[in-house]
Amino acid sequence: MKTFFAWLLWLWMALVIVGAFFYAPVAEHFRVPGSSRIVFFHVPMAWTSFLAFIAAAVWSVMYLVRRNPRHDRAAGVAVQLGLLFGVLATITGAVWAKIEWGAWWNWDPRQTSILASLLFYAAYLALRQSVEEPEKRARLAAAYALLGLIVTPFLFWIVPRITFSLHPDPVVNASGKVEMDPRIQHVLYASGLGFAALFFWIHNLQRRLEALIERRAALKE
Amino acid sequence: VLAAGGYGLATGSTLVAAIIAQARSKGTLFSVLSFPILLPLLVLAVELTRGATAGDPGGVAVPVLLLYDGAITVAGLMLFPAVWNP
Repeated sequence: MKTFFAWLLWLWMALVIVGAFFYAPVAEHFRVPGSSRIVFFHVPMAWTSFLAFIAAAVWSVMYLVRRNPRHDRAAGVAVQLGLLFGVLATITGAVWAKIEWGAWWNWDPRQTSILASLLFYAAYLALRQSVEEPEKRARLAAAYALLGLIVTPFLFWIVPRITFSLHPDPVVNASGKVEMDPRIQHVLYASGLGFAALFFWIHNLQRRLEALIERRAALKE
Repeated sequence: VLAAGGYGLATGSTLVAAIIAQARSKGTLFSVLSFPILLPLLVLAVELTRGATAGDPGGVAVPVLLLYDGAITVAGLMLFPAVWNP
């Protein structure tokens, strides 16, 4: 059953890639119209990173309520993957910014805010590294991840909007999402679903891997 | 703005301090952990201060700053017992 779902996921992602290049039209008003296809990969990566951080917060609440080490491990792995997807979204975004805006990095509000949230979760991993006792580490990390539940939505949703109102810069709205073609929306949402499934699949693998490593370490002692 | 900014800095730092008080290598960890939390606060406060000196009323950024302060306070009150008591 599990292999079946994995194959279904690969098939789905393959269809998304085909759809991104052959089904969806390009945004003609872009400087380089073909570069608009990045929306099908870059945007779902950012969504998935956000999803991963929310999932980490949910597992952290479950840890604080139930005190089950499994939930702590799940939260830690979710943050690792959220960072991975966040870094991928930032890099693809920088490549696109080079093509469309002319510079890899322009301190656009969204770039700044994703950088800050990535710093936050890098700090989360640093916190995990610097506490020795498993129980204390889990407790402190869970509290910090819950603090992220305030910081992350603020950075992802509020900062890009209000800084936009403070600096009305036409370059910020270059994606032109208002007149999005329905075919672009089909592929975009399909891709978002695929990336979310990819996250949960990798999360499951990594969580089981870490459980095995911990068990082996316990057996050695 | 000054009061709200100062209050937010104090609340955020206190919670982080409570977390790192139990970890080793406290000095470096404090800056690493508190920087991302205080960064949005600092950006907002700096923007608002600049606007205020230029005679700009500030608009939507003031309630956002207060909201952020409030959210950090509530989170601090809720999370502190979990952090402090084993």
